[in-house]
Amino acid sequence: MTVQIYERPESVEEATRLLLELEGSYLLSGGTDLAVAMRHGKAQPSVVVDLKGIPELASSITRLNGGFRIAANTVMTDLERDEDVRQELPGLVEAAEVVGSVQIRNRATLAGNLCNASPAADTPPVLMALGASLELQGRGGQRSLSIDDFFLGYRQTSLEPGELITAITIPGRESAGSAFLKLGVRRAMEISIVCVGVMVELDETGRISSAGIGLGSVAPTTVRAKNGESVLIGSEPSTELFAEAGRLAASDCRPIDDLRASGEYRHAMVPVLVRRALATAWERARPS
Amino acid sequence: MGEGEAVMIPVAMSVNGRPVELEVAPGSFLLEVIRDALELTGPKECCLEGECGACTVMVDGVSINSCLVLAAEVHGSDITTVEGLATDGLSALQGAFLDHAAAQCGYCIPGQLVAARAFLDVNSNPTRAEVREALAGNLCRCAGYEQITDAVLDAAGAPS
Repeated sequence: MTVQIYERPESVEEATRLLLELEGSYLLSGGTDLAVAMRHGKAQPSVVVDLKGIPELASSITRLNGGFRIAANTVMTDLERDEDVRQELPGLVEAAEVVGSVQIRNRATLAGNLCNASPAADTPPVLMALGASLELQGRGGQRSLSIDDFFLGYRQTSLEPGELITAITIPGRESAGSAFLKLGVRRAMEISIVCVGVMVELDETGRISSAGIGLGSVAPTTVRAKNGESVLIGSEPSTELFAEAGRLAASDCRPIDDLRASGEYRHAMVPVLVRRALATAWERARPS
Repeated sequence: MGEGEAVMIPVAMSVNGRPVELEVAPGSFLLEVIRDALELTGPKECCLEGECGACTVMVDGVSINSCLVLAAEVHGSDITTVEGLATDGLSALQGAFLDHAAAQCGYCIPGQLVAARAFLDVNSNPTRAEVREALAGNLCRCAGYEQITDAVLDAAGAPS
């Protein structure tokens, strides 16, 4: 099957209608995953619905309730270059800047990285740690969904037929820090062996009031390490505490053997990366 | 719908400053259109999965892998291929590649040059590390990375 129809809708409603009406239709955002899948025959769309003609999805990073609202078609390069995001969400920038190459980051969108639903994706772990929500729109209208409820399985999401992500929102926090770490055999153009995104928020006494740990490449989906998080909340930050959170986080994952690493190795690396990322996030959360 | 019933898409774009209008199949990638329809063979076909950068072109001044972009997507855009870098003789960047013997087999060089041009347009005074990072998506199997990096640093700040 070759592509027979290319559509470039100008509204989300029109995109939804096309997706529902036309059989074999695929969403196209940046295309850096879809095009590869098409080249390899793993995706065989008969209809491509390009979302880049929809003004409300166009790249934009705005403030929302002290946090951020990132429109669906915002690309990785836009995140890397935004001064407020660099300042307040360093973990997200660290994830965005290791996605593929410059050429890929100029094209790959944040919403696309989520919808592709690869367990090895770079940005979902840190978005999960940051407590992101997704603004969705489809035939039932608009809804908001926690990122925790978005990934259903390997490359499966809870998007309804015809539904798409219109924006990603990240809540504002007073004294918080985030960090992202990726383990791979080389630094550029690498698919993670394990990647970790974390967030630590401190109360006025310096104790941890909330925390997030997201893990990539250790399960069929990006996972939230609830066991690792639970030991952090209400505690006094320390190297020992972060190490304990790392050990507990390992119990939240079920990594497999593949060509990049054994499951055993991945399991052993999770505590190390979580501990290091938490230490960095804590440094960033402390008043300077 | 059967094979061969694809709805052709009209695409108008500027390629290296020249207006181009053509009809493309909805599944045609920009790389193939540039090479086969426009007969600009600077952008190279290699990995076809965004790993190697040999097909790099600029779309509205931004470097992308043309193997991963449908031609229909770039309707209304300005495209620059390596053929567009030399206007009045070779550009300073191309001259620097020659001076530093940065090309061995040469296959990756059109992509390296376009990626370097796009990078220098936003960072005219880069460090060595920044150049290496900027060109991390352009593989050179001859491993001419040191000469390529030297050439880009040399050309930095020089008029394009």
